[in-house]
Formats: sequence, C-alpha cells, structure tokens
Amino acid sequence: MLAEIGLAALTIAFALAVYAVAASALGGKKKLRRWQRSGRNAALLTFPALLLSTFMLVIALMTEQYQLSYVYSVTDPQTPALYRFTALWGSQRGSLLFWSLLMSLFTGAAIALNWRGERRLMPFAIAFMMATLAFFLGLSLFVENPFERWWLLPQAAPSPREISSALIPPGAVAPSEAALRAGAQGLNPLLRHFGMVIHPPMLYLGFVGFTIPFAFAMAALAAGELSPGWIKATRRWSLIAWIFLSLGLILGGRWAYDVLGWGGYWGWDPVENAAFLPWLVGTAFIHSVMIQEKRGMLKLWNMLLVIATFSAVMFGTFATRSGVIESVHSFARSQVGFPMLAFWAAVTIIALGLLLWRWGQGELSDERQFANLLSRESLFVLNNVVFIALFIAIFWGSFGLPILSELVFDKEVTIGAETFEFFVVPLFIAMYILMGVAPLSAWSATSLPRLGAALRLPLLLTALSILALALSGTSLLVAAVGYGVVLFAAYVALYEIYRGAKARRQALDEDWLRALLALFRRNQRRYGGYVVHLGVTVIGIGIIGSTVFQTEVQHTLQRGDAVSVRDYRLRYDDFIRAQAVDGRMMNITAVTLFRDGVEIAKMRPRIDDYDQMPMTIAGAHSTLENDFYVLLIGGDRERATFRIYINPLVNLVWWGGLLLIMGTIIAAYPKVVPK
Amino acid sequence: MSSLPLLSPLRLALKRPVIPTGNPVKCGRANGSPLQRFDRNWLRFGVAVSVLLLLVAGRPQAQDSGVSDTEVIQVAERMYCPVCENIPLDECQTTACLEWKEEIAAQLSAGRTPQQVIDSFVARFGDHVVGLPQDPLLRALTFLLPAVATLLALSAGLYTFRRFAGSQRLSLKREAMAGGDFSDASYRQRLENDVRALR
Repeated sequence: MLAEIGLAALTIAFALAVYAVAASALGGKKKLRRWQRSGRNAALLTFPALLLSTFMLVIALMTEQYQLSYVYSVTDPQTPALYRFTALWGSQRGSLLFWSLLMSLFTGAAIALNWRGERRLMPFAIAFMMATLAFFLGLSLFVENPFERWWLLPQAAPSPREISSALIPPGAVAPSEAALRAGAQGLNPLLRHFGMVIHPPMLYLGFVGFTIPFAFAMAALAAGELSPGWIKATRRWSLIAWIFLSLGLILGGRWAYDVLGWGGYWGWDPVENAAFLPWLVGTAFIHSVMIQEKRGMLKLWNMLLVIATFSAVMFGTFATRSGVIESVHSFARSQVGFPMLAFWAAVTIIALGLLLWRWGQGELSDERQFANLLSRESLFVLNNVVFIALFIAIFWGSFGLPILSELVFDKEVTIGAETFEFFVVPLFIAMYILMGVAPLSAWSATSLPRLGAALRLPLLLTALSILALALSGTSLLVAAVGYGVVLFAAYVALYEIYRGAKARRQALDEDWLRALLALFRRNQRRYGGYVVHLGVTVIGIGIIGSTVFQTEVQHTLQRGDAVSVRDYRLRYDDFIRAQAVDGRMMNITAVTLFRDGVEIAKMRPRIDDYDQMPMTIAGAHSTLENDFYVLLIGGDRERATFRIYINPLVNLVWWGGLLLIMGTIIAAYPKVVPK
Repeated sequence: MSSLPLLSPLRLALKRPVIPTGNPVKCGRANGSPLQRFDRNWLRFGVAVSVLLLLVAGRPQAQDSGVSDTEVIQVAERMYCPVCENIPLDECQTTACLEWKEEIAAQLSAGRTPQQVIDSFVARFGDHVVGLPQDPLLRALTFLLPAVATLLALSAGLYTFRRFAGSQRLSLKREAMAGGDFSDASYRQRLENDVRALR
C-alpha cells in the first residue's frame, strides 16, 4: 500500500508540475491572471504531493519493506534507525525524489515571498522552476522509480524469474518476506557517518537553491523585464543557496577527513570538483551582482554568471549520477545519464538563446561605465576574472582534458592534486590580494595615493606578522607568501569593522559592543561580507598549515614498541578483534600517544570489515594547534603497520567554515525595518 | 521495468543470494559504492580482489627491503591506482596497489631514483598512473588551455574597461565642448544659483 500511495502522489506531482509550466507560461505571455493563479496553485500543490510520496518512502525504509527494491538495496535488518532515514538520499532513486521535494519546497517559498512583489516575473519564474522539477520527477517516474518492487513470475518461460517493477506484472506474486530480509544489502559503509546525515542534503539545498536565481533571470529575459527587480528578488536566494553549498562542501571535507582515511579533506576528486564549480561561479555572481545593484553595470555579465551557475549545477548533477566519472561519491552508471545530459544542454542553449535575443535588442546595456582601474567595480571585475579562471582550470583538469584525451587520443589520463595546485595556488593568491584591496577602494573612482593611504595599516600589520613568523622559525618562502596574502585580507576585514565601529563611537558616543552591534545591524550585507572574508582567511591559514607543514610517515611496530614523530611518541599497546552488533568484524589496535614524555591520549585506530569491504577508521588527537592522525594499515597481535599524519592548524579549516556560514547568515538575514 | 535474477530457490538458501545493484568492491578511498551496478563479471572480480585483500591486509607490511615505508609512500603518493580512477596509489588498498607498492620498494632498494621508478611504471602502464600526462601534447594541453583562457578573460576585461573608459572620456569631452559640466561641484553650484534666482 505504501508503494501505491507513494507512486500515485509522485505521478500527481509530475502532472501538477507539467500543468504549472503550461499554465504559468500561458498566463505570463498572454497576461491572463486566472491562468497565472492556476499555475501558481499547481506549483504550490507539488509540495504536499511530494511530501506524501517521500513520507511513504521513509516509512517503507523505517519499517523494513524490503519488497521495495530501493529499501532492499540500501538497508538491511541490522541498519540503525538513523541510517534507515538517511538512506533516503543514500542512493540514486531516493536522492532524486529528495531533490524534487527540496525543489518544490524552494518553489513554494519563492512564491510565498515574491508573488506580490514581482507579479510580472513570477509566472515565468514558476514556469522555469516547474520545468526543472518536472524533469526530475520524470526521471523518478520513468527511469529511476523509488517505488519499484520485486515480483516473482512463476509462469515465466523457460524458468521462473524475478523482476523489479513499479506496476504489478500480470501473473506476478510477491516474493517471501524472509527471502527479502535475508538478501537485503544495507547502506554503503562509507555513508554510515554522521557527516552523511547532513552533507548530501546541504549540497542538494545549495544546488536546488541556485535554481531560483536562474529561474528569475530567465523570467526577466522572457518577460523583457530587465529592471533591477530580478536582482533584488534573487539576491537573498543566491546567498541562501551559497550558504548551503558552502556548508555542503565543508561537511564533505570533514566527512572525507574522518571516514575516507587518507589524512586530508580535499583530494581534487572529480565529484568534489563538480560541487566546487557552481560554488566558484556562484561566488563570482554574488560579487558582481553588487555592481549591477549599485552602479547599473554588468547586466549582461550577471545574466551569463547566473546561467553558468545553474549550468554548473546541472553538469555537477549529471557528472555525479551518470557514471561518466569514477569517484568516491559518484552514483551508479545509470540510465539517467543521457536524459540529464540532454536537459543540461537544452537548458543552457535556451538560456543563452534568450540572453542573446535580449542583448541583440540592446536591452542589457549598462547605465554607467568603468571610469577608473582602481575603482571598486573594476576590482570586482578582476575578482570575477579570477573566479572564472579557477572555474576553467578546474573544469578542464577534472572533465575537459580526461574526456578529450579519451575521445581524441584514446588515452586515459589522470590529473592529480599537484597539477591542480599548480593552477589554483597563484589564482587563490590573486583572490586573497583582491579580497584585501577591493573593500578599501571606493565605488566609481579611487586615486592611487588614496588607496595607498588606506592600505598602509593592513600592509604594515602584514609585514609585522611575516617578520614574527620568520623569527619563530618559519623559513619556507611559500608559507611566508601564503600567510602574508591571507593575513593581509584578514587585517583589511578587521580594519574595516574597526573603522566603522570607531566612527560610531566617536559620532554617537556608544560603547564598543553597542557600536559593533549597531554597525552590523545597519549594514548587514557589508559587515556580514567582512565576516565571510574573515572565515575565508581562517580557512586559508588552516589549508596552508595543514598542507605545507604536514608530516606523513609510516611505521611497523612490534607490540609494546613506540615510534617518535616530531615531539610526539606513539606506542602500540594491543590488538583486538571483535564483531559489532551490525555484523562487521573490527580489527582494533590500542595505541597511546605521548608528548614530551607525558601521556596525552589513548586512541583506537581500526579497520572495519563490512562483509567484503574493509574500511579504515582513523584515530585522532585534535587540538587547535594540530591533529595527530593515525591510520591502521594492517596488523596482528604481534606487530602492526601505522600511517601517521601530523596536520598543523587543520581545525582552522572547520572553524573558518563556521565563520563563513555565520557571516553569510548575517548578510542574508532579512533586515528588520522599524515601524 | 528492470529485470534482475534475484530470488531463485537455490539462492534463497544463501544469506546474500544476489546483489541486485552491485555491492561495492572498489578500491582506495572509496572502497566502492553499493550504488554502482557493476555487471556480474566485475562483481566476481571484485569479490576475488576483496578476499585477497583481506588476506593481505591482515599482514603488517614488510620492511625488510632496506627501504622505509615512508620512502615508498613518498613515491606512491605521486602515482594513481591502476584499477580505480582518481585514487592515489598510497591511499589505495587493493591487491594490485599493494603489489605495486612492493615493487616500488624493490626498485628503490635496487638503487633507482623515485623519478626512475615512476617512469618505469608509466612506460609499462600508461599516462593515467601519474597525476600529469607524460605525453608532450597532452601535457602542453593540460597547462596551456587554462593559461590561455585566463589570459583571454583578463584581456577581454581590460579591453572592455579601456573601451568604456575611452568612450566615457570622449563623452565628457563633448559635454565640456558643448558647455556642459557634469562634475558634482559645478552641478550643485548651478542648482544653488537657480534656487537663488527663484527667491
């Protein structure tokens, strides 16, 4: 019954989405209010329909309805309740349904917030949002149906066979419950981690969120309503999507660090990069959109960035789900690949076609022009060049060259981390420099002496910091340069906040706390942005520390022996083999960590064996200064091999991420207007 | 509608009769994903690899070649797994990768430099075992395209800026020749004059 209700609700949602596209497009084009309202209502109704459908699948997962082939493939009787729930997005079919639910939720929220304010744009925006939703629902219904069930065909020739089908085939009978329970597979062990409870939903929210600015941009092009209205309507949506995407990327890094057992958080893996690409273009858009709002410039460019962001979202979804690339994160080689590629290409071509049409009619010309190379708008354009260059380099290394090489030269190539770093390190240095200089430059025009005067104090602080680092024994040039540019950007952000609070204190005689709070309240976007910049600089310090100064060694120890690594000493104490309640065998080692002769931690690095799949669980001793991270490579009671990493400042990556999220929330939080 | 052999009576006797969506037997960081639908041959291959892996992984790695594990890792981290795409060799735990690491240790102990070891693997297995193509054309493409695209983007930005700045200077000059002055101070002065005249 659950499957029938879920399937019926999914079908209704699909029909509603298709109807909403037609009614909204017709209502928008012919300016027919009735059709517009009808399209809106249909769009709103997709949410309860999808909520019901998703609820049915969740119940099926929680109550072990193994006849549903999805439940069968992602859970087993030993799966804990939390992971039964998260199995909703643990595989292709469930995650497509979940994606659609989030899309309908975002559409409902966009309608609730923007229907009155953007009446001319909304019907077209709904049509674009619903077209995207209809596509994903179509995939769920016709290609990757989460409500397919196992059926036995006793009369099939030449022998009885089993099939998976959403509808009941003629003459089919349900397989026995016991057989299904015995065969159920369980969730991928890599996904049994708290990070997986929130990492995929955050990424999906980010991906889905960027559909809203895209839909508004397309609506503006379709309706010919190219006033700043669409920018105002989508600014907050872009920030919300950006928060979720950032959070998804950070949590993904944390999950990789904890679970994948390789001592790092970013491997330049193609699927990691596929999620990073929309973030890069989205970040460029969030910056350049300010120029359009404040100066009426870069209208064409902003449209291009919105299209590129959505296109990158669709490409990322395609890359993850089509099996075109092998990766830790990728879903199956499934049948969704071709439809997704076709949808991605179609949407991109239609969007660019609309853009060229309006551009040809001269409707995207700028209201002002660049006057000065040092003006803030010029520096923002440079910032955009850096982000786009990063996008091109990462796309080329992850997808462009490997695909070209295989198609044209019939050669498989791998683009490794060092090659990516060759490109991205100089570009990130440029990004940090611009992050420092641009906030001190004025809109429209800035003279070099004036900018120089504003930069004097942050540059002096940076020079002093580099000197302090050199005196403390940091002799690596790459670290000095890295820390220098990162600290420069941090000092500028702090200096700007300090200057603003000081001005308030002097003008209004407020205390520091009051002045700071009022400063943030009065200009959330500006000062929230500075907090984001601070977050990015803290992440930068963490990345430089944990990569440039990382220590990595591997040693085999006899039981009772110890090894010294820098000022630490690790002793191998014991080996235990045990079986967990979910059936996995665990090879656990007990080790003790000493620093300067004093015991500071006991750790249990282990290898879990999930039937056919070994998984390395690191032991880690974490401080703000560094992580002592140890992996068990293999061993027995007498001796064991350990790989040891010391990752200095790695925790700043997570703390910086938190700061970045806080800053974005400040910037995006609705302003309270006093009555 | 998909068709998968699942529940034949013979298989029901087993705990895991069949794995319809392919259970994970991949390598390295991933160790695979149960979401992937490998065909049966891949599945069998994977099971065999895993069984071997479990046998091998249970043993500590030998250090009797005169080369330390750390030296081997330093070479292995510059290489990639021959079976799994995009998984660095030092992280990968498949049998193939463990054998490669043993071979790296053997070559290092025979006096070869890390680069010579890597070159020998590239010569035998191809470009995809290292993180940068060794083929000159592919290597050039790897570096050139992003560099050229960045330079083009920068040139386009500068050209646009100069065109805009040039047209603005021209328009200001024309306004000045026509007696117009659009600076803030003079505009404010004219406004004040007009207001004074109205009084």
